[in-house]
Amino acid sequence: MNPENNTSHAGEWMRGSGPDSDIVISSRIRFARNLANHRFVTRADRSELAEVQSKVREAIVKAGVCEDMVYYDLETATAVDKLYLVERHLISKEHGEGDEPRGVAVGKDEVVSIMVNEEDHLRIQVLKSGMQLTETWAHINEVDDRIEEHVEFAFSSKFGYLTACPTNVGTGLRVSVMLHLPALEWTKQLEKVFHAVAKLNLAVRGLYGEGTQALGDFYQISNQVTLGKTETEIVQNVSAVIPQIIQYERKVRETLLVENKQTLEDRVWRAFGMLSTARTITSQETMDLLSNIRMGVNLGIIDTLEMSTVNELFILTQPAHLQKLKGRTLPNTERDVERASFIRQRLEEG
Amino acid sequence: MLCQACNQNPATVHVTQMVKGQQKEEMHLCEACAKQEGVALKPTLSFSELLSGFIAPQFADPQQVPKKPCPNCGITYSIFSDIGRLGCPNDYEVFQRTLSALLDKVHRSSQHVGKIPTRAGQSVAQSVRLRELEEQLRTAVRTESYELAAQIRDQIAELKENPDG
Repeated sequence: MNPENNTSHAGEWMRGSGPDSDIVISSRIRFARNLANHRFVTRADRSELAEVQSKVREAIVKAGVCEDMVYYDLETATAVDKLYLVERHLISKEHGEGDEPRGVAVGKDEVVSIMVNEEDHLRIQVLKSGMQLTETWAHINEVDDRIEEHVEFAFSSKFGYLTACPTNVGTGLRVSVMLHLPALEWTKQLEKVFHAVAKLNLAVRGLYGEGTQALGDFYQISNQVTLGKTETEIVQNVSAVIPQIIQYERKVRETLLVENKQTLEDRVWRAFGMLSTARTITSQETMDLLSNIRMGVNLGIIDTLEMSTVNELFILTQPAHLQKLKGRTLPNTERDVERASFIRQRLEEG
Repeated sequence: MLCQACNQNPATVHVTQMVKGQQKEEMHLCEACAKQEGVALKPTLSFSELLSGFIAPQFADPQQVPKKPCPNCGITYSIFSDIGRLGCPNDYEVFQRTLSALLDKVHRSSQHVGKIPTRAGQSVAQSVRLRELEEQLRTAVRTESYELAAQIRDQIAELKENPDG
């Protein structure tokens, strides 16, 4: 495995384009699928997992899911390579941790990726930039159809697509929209949003999914119910709530710009100042400061930076990315120095 | 280390009792004995435990928990409720009744209405369509929309009579 060629750029979804990209980072949909006549991952032995993996790989190739598909074998991958894939949202942390036969197929621009032998035999993901749930849904549905021509999925007419965990059964669908909500966080109004979202049976998660902490004011809104609703209904349920959160965040930003202009500008420029001059900086501090810069660029306070540069910095400054960039393992302290230097350079380039 | 109480299971719960700020006694117990001793287990927010929370209340009577393991993967319902993951697709058949009740709590439904793989064939599509119509019929009757109900009833009859149409 050698996911080197992308070290200096993030995937398509971090372009910072697409509708409402000032607030919506990405639209992501995944399908959980399992092969019929095989035990689920937790109950299968190595040889069965190897068999499942080879069947799935073959199906992906035959299906011609997308251009330039690359398969990363996680059984033999180094810890840094695995973390690198986690940081790019191509695999989950759990998927990187196991040592059974497993891997991930990644398509061009990292829009389509398929985890093999994670919790389910297949976790198909389509990830796009900005608010594009409808397009993302159409895309993943086609990918799923194509793969299904070459393998038989475990399915029952009562329970739908059968998954290892009953929380995913039925459609096997998880729809997530990642939002950047610094103004709501700053003015302590997030609780209200989360409360409303929870009432609609939707979940709020941090940057890296289930159980992860909110970093850089990024939050993912996703569905919890996967059974008893059609895929389109689930997509619509999530879609329906997003415009209101976007409106709310924008309104608070505008109010801040009118009523607290100096404080807001100060916050943005201080963050910019810190990041353009710091000699050593942690990942956490980087995320917090970048969050303010991102809002500053969106509000036109900073006009010398491209949004894609800021978006990419969130990913490229993470531990595995820095180490791959340097081509060697870096201890924490050295990593913080490298991070600071990398950021200074990128900010100068704009 | 074995459990100090039963000397059979591995000790997974380690308790240090404090009396007036002074360390008094260490105990090493298995989970079952710890529960008996009334030791409050450290709350962790693992998903499987959350799920067990859902699973548990319906089995006030332990006799009701399905005992037989799945002949295909060997998992029992109690193993499932511990780890929160099923062993194979066949489990959905083996534990159908119990799982339906669980799914009704988690998803407020136990009937798939979404996508059907083309491979699963026409027959599955039809039985799903039939169930959809029957559900619509029940709703129509409940809301006293009798005209609609009559229409749906005709559709159902047609589908049953002419399954290939």
